[in-house]
Amino acid sequence: MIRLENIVKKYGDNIVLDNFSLELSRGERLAIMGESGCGKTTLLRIIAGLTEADGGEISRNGDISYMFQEPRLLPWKTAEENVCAVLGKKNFPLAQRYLSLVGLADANKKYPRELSGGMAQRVAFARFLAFAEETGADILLLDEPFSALDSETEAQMLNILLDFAADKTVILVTHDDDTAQKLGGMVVKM
Amino acid sequence: MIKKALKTLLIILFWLCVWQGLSMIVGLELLLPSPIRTLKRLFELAGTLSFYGIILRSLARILIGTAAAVALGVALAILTARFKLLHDFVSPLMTVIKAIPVASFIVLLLLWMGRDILPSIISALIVLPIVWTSVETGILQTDKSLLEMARVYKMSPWGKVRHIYVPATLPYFVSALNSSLGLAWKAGIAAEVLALPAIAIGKQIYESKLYIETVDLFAWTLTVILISLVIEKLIVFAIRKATSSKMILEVAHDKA
Repeated sequence: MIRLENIVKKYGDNIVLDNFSLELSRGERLAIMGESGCGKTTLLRIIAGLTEADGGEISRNGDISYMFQEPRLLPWKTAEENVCAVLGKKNFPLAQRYLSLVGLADANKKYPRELSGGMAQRVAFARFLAFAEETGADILLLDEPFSALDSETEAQMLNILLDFAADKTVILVTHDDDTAQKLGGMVVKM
Repeated sequence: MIKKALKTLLIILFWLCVWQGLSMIVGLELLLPSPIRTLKRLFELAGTLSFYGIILRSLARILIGTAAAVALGVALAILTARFKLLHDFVSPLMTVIKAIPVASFIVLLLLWMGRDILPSIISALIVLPIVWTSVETGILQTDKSLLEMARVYKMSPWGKVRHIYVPATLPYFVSALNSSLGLAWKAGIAAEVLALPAIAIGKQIYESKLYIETVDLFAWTLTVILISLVIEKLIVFAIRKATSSKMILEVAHDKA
C-alpha cells in the first residue's frame, strides 16, 4: 500500500532522511518516534506528497487523510463549519457526528479563538476522521495529533482512532512511548 | 453605548462653540460665518428640491468612478498576485498614479475629456491604487498553512476562494475602502470645482466663492462632510451584512 525506497531529503547541508526505506501493507500500523528535527514530519509530508524527496522512489495506493501537528482551523469559521469546509455539500450531519464523537457536541458553534488548544486539536481530529470517512481514505497519516491533550483525553482519542482505523493503514508520529505501543503496530525510532 | 454617544456629542458641541467664538471674534460673516448661520442656510438649501438633485448627481458621478475602480482594482490584484511579471508591469503605473498631484490630473484630463465624466475618473484614480495594493497584499499574505490544509483535504478551487482567500482578504479590502472612499469623495468634489459640470456640488462651491457667498460655501462644505460620514458608515454596515460573519471583521480589527 505504501512503499518508500531509498528516500533522501536534505535541507541545505543537513541530511534529514538518508536512504530511508519502508513498506506497509493495507491495515498495517506504524508509530514513528524520535528527537525533534530528526525528520519524522518530513517523512510524513513526503508520503502525503506535500514535500518532494531529493531522491528515492515512493509508491502508494489509496486515498490519504492527513492530520497536521497544528490544528490549522479557519479562524473565521465555527468548529462545525471548519469540519464542513472539507466535506461535500450538505454534510453537516457527518460533521456533527464526528464532533460529538470527539466530545465537542456543545462546542460546534464556537470559533477557534474560543477553543482551548486541546479542543482545537480535537476539532482538527474530527475533521480528519470525517474527511477520511467521506472519501473512503485508507491511508491515515497523523503528525503528533494528540500533543495538546491531557493523558485521559489522549487515551480516548487514540481509542476512537483504533476503532475507526480497523482495516486502514496508519502512520502516527508521536513523542509518547505509551501511545506508540498502544497503536499496536510497528514502532520505528528515527 | 449611551455614554460614548454623549461624549461624542459633547466633543462636537465643544468644537461648535470654538467655531462660534472665532466667528464672533472675526465679526464678519463674509469671512467666517457662524455655525448657527451656516446651519440655518443648510436647512434653507435642504428645503429646496434642487439641493437633492445636485447631491444625487455628484454622488452618482463619484460613486460610478469609485465602483469601477474597486472592480478593476480587485480584478487586477487577483491577476497580479498570481502572475509576478504582471505585478512588475502594473506596480510602477500605480506608483505614478499615487504620486501625481490630483490637481495635475484634473487639469490634464480637462484637456482630454468631457467635464461631466472628469470627477468619476478622478475618484477612480484615487481609489484604484489603494484597492489594488491592499487586496493584492491580502491575497499574498493568505496563511500558507491553511492553503496546505486545503490541499490535503482536496478542497476545490472555488472552495479555497470561498473558505480561505475571500475571508483572508476581506479585512484588507475593508481597510482599503475605509481609507479611499473619503479621499475619492473629496477629490471628486475638487474635480467638480475645476471642471464645473452643469449640476454639481463642486459648481455650487465654485459659485459661492465667485459671488463671495461664504455662508453658502460653508453650507455646501458641511453637506460634503455629512455625506462623507454617511457613505463611510453605509459601506462598513453593508460589508458587515454581506459577510454575515462577525469573526471576519474581528480578524480585520486585529489586523488593523
